[in-house]
Amino acid sequence: MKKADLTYLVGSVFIALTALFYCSTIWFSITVPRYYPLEHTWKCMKQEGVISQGWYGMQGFAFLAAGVVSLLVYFALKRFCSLNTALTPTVTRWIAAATFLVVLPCMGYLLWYEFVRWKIF
Amino acid sequence: MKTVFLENCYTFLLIVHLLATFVLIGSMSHNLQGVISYCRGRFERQALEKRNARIFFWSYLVCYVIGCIIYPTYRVYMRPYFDPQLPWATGLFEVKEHWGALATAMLLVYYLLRKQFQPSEDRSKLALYIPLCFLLNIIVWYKVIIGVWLTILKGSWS
Repeated sequence: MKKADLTYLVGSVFIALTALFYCSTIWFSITVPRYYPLEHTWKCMKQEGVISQGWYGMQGFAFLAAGVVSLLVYFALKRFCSLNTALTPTVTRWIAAATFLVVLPCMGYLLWYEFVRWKIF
Repeated sequence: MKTVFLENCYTFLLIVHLLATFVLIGSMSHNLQGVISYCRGRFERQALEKRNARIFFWSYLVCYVIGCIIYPTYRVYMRPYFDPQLPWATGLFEVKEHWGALATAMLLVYYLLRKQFQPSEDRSKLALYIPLCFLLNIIVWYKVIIGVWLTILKGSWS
């Protein structure tokens, strides 16, 4: 597979999975490391009444998990696709559509989640 | 008195964050101009568009890293003001942070993809590249507007 095709496919997978894994931390209440800015420490739990930040952990989890799966996809494509394999224009368009079909609802969900949480709606 | 990481440099870093945002908006808008010309079937200024995509990526990265550094100070000193009095502002800020995280992944792919394809020769890849460009513009403009708005509401704790 051509390098540009590989980047296109693996990149699309990475974008979609980052969005999914990021939202998964909210959907499944996944425990991520939290930073405690006044104590300068990281803990894998939320202490009530103490200022902490989970955003770094959510990102780290999403990037890491999506990165690992994308790498597996990359190695699989390198292993099983011949050098002459190329993405057809139709497949290319479908991959883009699938990517945005995942990313846009995830973005919409995050907007809805925070707007409800902070009573903007 | 407990202090927050780089709390003393907050104002300086906030200004650098703002300056990097100027570069980001400039490169992003010029990049968008190039991408719009692709929509019209014009490919004369590909090199310029590619250069703007590169500046777009690196300036976003600078903004992102500085944002990550100053976030704890914001969390400790600004949020206690916003949360009880202006909860909607916190809501808008949280969306900004969530979308910013997703935009980081999108921009990385956007940049890597642009490095490896020529729009005039491989037009099918524009199916991802063009919408990604528009989406990144929406996210970055949202982040800029909300960031400036919140700074106007409360930019300092002293």
